Amino acid sequence: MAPLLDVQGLEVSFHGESGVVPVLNRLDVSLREGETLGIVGESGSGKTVLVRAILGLLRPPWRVEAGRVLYEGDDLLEKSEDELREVRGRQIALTTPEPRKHLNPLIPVGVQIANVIMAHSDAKRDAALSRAEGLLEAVGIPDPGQRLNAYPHELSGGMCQRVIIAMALAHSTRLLLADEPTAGLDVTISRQILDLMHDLVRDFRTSLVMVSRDLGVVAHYCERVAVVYAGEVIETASVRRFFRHAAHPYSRRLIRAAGAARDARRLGTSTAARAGTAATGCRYAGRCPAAIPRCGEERPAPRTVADGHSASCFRAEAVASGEAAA
Amino acid sequence: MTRPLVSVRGLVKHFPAGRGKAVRAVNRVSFTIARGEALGLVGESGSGKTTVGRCLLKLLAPTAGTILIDGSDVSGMAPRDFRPLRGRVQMVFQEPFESLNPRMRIETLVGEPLRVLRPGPAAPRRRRVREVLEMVGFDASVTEKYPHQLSAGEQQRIGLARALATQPELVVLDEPTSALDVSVRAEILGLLNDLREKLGLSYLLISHDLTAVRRVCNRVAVMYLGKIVETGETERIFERPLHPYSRALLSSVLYPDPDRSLPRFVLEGEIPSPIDLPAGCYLYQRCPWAKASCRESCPDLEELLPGRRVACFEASGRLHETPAKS
Repeated sequence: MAPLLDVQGLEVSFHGESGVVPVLNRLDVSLREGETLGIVGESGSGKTVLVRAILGLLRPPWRVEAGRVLYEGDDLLEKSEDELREVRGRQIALTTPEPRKHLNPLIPVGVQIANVIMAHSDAKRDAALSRAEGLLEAVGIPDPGQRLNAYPHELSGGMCQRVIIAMALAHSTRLLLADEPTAGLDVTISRQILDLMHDLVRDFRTSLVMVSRDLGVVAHYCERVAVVYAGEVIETASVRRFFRHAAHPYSRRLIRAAGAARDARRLGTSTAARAGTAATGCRYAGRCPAAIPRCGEERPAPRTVADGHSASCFRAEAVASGEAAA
Repeated sequence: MTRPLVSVRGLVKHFPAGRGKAVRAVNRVSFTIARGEALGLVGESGSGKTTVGRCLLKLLAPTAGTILIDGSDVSGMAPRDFRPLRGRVQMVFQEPFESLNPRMRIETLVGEPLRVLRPGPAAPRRRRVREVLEMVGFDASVTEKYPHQLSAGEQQRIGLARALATQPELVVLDEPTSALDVSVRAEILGLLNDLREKLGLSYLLISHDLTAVRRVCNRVAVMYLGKIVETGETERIFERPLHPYSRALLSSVLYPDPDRSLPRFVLEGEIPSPIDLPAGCYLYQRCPWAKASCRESCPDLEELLPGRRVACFEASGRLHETPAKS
């Protein structure tokens, strides 16, 4: 089956005053219909840029230099702004971190949801508002009829995230891109939001790409994982395989760092490489405990270590099996 | 019995909220910190944990209660009298960059607490600055830099060096890692452990990040709406939380291991406003164990197991529901 979303060789760079900084480097990632994919990476790795590139939301000084973003076989990068707008509202939706910032503070949330509904259908205002009420109920907001008239500042962060999710589901969205859906939320509220997304994705048969820096979230709420490091996907695997047999030394480091192990001293002290650090060879080589001379000279291509599991590392098999120290 | 380094009794802090109302941020909180001990104050936003930390450092004046630091009551002390103590209790802030003056070089920044609190000739101060920078893993070359030239993790290490400059006995750490990426976070936590061991420091670690608290603290106090609802040894609480709020908080931790089953103890709804605190137990409306009596009066902390104090009417009758793990 052809994937629902297939990003191929995506290159994005930032054209700043001090020159051009490559941010995504020949990035490949794909998603099958109905799948939930977690994209993990540290800040500056390019996760958010990837999501925005998929939806055609990058504006100068960001520039897409090369690659394709195939959605049901059509390249979204080739589409006009009008065509994209159709895709964005009706097919692919985006939720953002810091939901309050993405709601208009001067408009009641019900009207904001209704506007989304009206923008992509012939619905009249009253019909749109009553559908908005139904959506607020679906995302677990108590007293939805009343809350239609609430302004964003009257709602908690968790409630604002629910409103954003309601907007994302206003049309029969097929693909939901959730960028850090629990950033800035309290832990007990985070769980509520994750459970909600999980249920909605199942009930609405939506495919989900969840961007997160929290491996715990990905472990429990996604089926597959893609690790982004310095602007490229360096490993992709089923979640189950990933946490047992990660094949890239960087992935192993991330898993270790996220673990609840009490001893955090063996991690080494180098800081994360940012997207844009140009180098020949593997971008992780300088920090990698498993590096061999070849790693500094040649950029590793993805190697398949098992069905559905690949890693961009010359020593992937040895790392996955635990033979190579990583 | 040796005197605890810190002893807080019946601490109350209310902030005026207009129209005769008050934000009841901290409501009769009592705890002690022994020398060399690391106490974790955990809770979600609005639980009052930061306010407790700020009262301890006299950055806020308590509404009621006493705070003894090494036996002297600092709550009613004039600022001038507190000055000699100030060097003995220091603080590390949440946002590393925002808590460092961007126009000062690292030399000046780290030397500032000494210049203010222990005025004296420059040469020994410069030596001490280099000494503490080395403790947190820098060589002398960093002294010429400005904060913006450092990464977030490095900035936080500078914050730590600054706090250590006056050779404090207690360091209050307010969410020291929440702005950092996972691998950098792990480094900072490892460093905190090393420093406590080496220098015999005491910590009050204020955090919503339970894994961080588990790595650093030997004792924990769980706060909800300005009250401590459970205290005890860290490992005992993590293995077997007895208060329903602690249970919910701990079950919200998503471990990066898909095979580890998700504990389901999810609280309904959101945290009530600290202006209109519910009558009776503050958790009443959200608690799956709540009975009519819980609405009438608020439970006090009670020792249910050796070293474990819990504020819940129902917890003692439910000890069998939370079997101790081996």
